[in-house]
Amino acid sequence: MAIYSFWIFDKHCNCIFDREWTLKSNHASGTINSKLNEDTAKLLYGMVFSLRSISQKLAGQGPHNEIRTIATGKYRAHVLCTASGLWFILLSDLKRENLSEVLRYLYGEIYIKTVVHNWLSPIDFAESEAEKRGRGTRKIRNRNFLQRVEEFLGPMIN
Amino acid sequence: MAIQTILVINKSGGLVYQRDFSASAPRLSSNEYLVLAGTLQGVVAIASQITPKSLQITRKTGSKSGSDANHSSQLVPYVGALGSSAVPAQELGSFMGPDYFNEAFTSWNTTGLKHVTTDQNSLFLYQTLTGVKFVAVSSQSATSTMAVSIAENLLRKAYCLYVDYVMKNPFYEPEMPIKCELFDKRLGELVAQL
Amino acid sequence: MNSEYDYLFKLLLIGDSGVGKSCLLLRFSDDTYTNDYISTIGVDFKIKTVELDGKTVKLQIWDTAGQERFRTITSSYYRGAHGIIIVYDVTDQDSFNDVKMWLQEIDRYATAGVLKLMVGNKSDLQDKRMVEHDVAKEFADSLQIPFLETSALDSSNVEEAFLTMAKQIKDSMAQQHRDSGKKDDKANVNLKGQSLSNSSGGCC
Repeated sequence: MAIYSFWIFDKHCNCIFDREWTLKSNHASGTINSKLNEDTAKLLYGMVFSLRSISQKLAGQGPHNEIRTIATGKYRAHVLCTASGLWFILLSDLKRENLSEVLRYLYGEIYIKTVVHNWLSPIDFAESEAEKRGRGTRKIRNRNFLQRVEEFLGPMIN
Repeated sequence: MAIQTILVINKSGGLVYQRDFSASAPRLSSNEYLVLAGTLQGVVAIASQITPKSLQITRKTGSKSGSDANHSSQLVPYVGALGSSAVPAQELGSFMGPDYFNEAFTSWNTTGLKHVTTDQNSLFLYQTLTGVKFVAVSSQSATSTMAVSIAENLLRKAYCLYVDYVMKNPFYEPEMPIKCELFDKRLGELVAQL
Repeated sequence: MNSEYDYLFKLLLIGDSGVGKSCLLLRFSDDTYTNDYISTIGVDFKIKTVELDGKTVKLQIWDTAGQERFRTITSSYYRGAHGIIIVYDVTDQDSFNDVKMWLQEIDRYATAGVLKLMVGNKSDLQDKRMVEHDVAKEFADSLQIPFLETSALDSSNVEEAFLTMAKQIKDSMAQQHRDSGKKDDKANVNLKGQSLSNSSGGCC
C-alpha cells in the first residue's frame, strides 16, 4: 500500500499544489511545490482533462459523469472534481482501489479549513490574465495546510 | 457487467472497429468516436510518461528482487466462466479450441493506460504486443481487480477473434476499418456469453 | 456499426508553434468547432470525409503542438501516419530553418516512404515576408517534396493538396496490393531453387 503523490489544480488549469514522495520508507522524502514537476503536472492535467471529456461524451445528455480512477499497469490515479472547479488527484499503487474518502477529507477538512477559511489566503490563485489561462505558478504555501497534509498523508505513503 | 461498446484502435491511433452491444450505449457520431480513439492514443502515451518517480527509483535500484514481483503483478489470472462456449471447437476454426486459452497470461501493457472508472462507466483497455488496442466500455463503475481481469480476459479473446477472422482474411487491408461478418458474429457471441 | 467509412487515413500536421497550423484547415474539416485538446495532450483532431473512386474515406488530421514539452509525446503520434505536412511561417525565418529539424523527426519516427508536403503559411503578409518563395521552392525541390504557399485568407490550395495526397495514399495502397502479389510469384520461383540475385539487383 503506497501513495506516491498528491496534486491540486484550480479552475484555470494551474497546478496550485504538488507533493511527491520519492522514498516509500521515508515520509519526509520527496518534493513540495517543485519546479521540476511543472511538466509532469501539465501532462497529468492533460490526461485527466481528456479522459474527462471522453466520459462526458459517453454520458451524453445524462447526468454528470465525473472521472473517479485511472489505472495503468503501474499506478492508479484517484480524482475528485469539486463543484468549484478544483481537481484533487492522488497517485497510489494498484492495491488501493478507492481513495475517494481520503480525497474528500483532504478537500473538506483540510483545504476548506486551512485555505478557504484563511482570510490571508487568496480566493483565486491566478491574478493576471495570463495566469488565468493556465500560466500561473502560484502555489499554496500556507503552513497550516502543508502541515496537515503531511500529518494526514504521511502514514499512508508506505 | 454490461458491455456497452467495444472498440478496436490500430497501432497508429485510428479507430478501425466500433460496435454497440446495448441500447444504453452512448450515441456518438463516427467522427466523435474517431476523436475519442485518437485521444486515447495520446492518453496512453502520457499515462506511461507520468509514472511516479518513486516507482522509477525502485525499479532501478531493486531490479533483482523487484523484477519477479513486477512480473507476477502483470500476470492476469484466467477467468474460466467467461469462455464456457456453446460452440464446438471445430466450428470456431481455431487450433486452440473454443476457449483459445485457459491459463493466466502476461499483460504487455505494463506502463500505459489500462482502466478508467467514472460515476457511470468503466473503460478497459487491452494492448497487444503489436500496439493494437481493444477497448471495452461497460455500464458499471467497477474498480475491483476481479472486474478488471474479467474485462482483460474478454478483450484478449476478442484479440484472438481478431487474429483469426480479421488478420487471416485475405481481403482485409491492414490498419483499415474492419468489415468482416464472421468477426462481427463471433464477437457478438463472445459478449453474449457474459 | 463501423460501416460508415471504407478507409481511414492518418495525416499529421507539424511545424513550430505559432506558424498557424490550426488555421489552415478550419474550413476544411467536417465539424467547424475545435477541441482544446492541443494544449493538454499535444494534439487536436480534424476529420474530413471524402469520396474517392466510390469509396468513403475519412481523413483524420492530427494537428500537433509545436511546443518543446510535448516533443516526446508528439513523436508517438508519427506512428503509422500516411502523410505528413510540414508548416512554416513565411514571415518567420526561424520557423523555416526548423523545417530541417522537423524532417529529421520524420526520418526518426515516421514510416519510411511516408508522403510529405511543405507549406509556407501567411503568404498574404507580403511586406513582412522573410522567406522568399524561390528559396523555399529550391529547398523543397532538392528534397523532392511538393511545396506550396498559402494564407488563412485563402487556403483552398492546401485543401486541394490534401485531396491530392489522399488520392496518392489510396493509389499507393492499391499498388502495394499488386506488389505483394508479385512477391508471391517470386517466392514460388525461389522454392524451385533459383538464386535471389536477380531480385536483389532490382532493389538497388
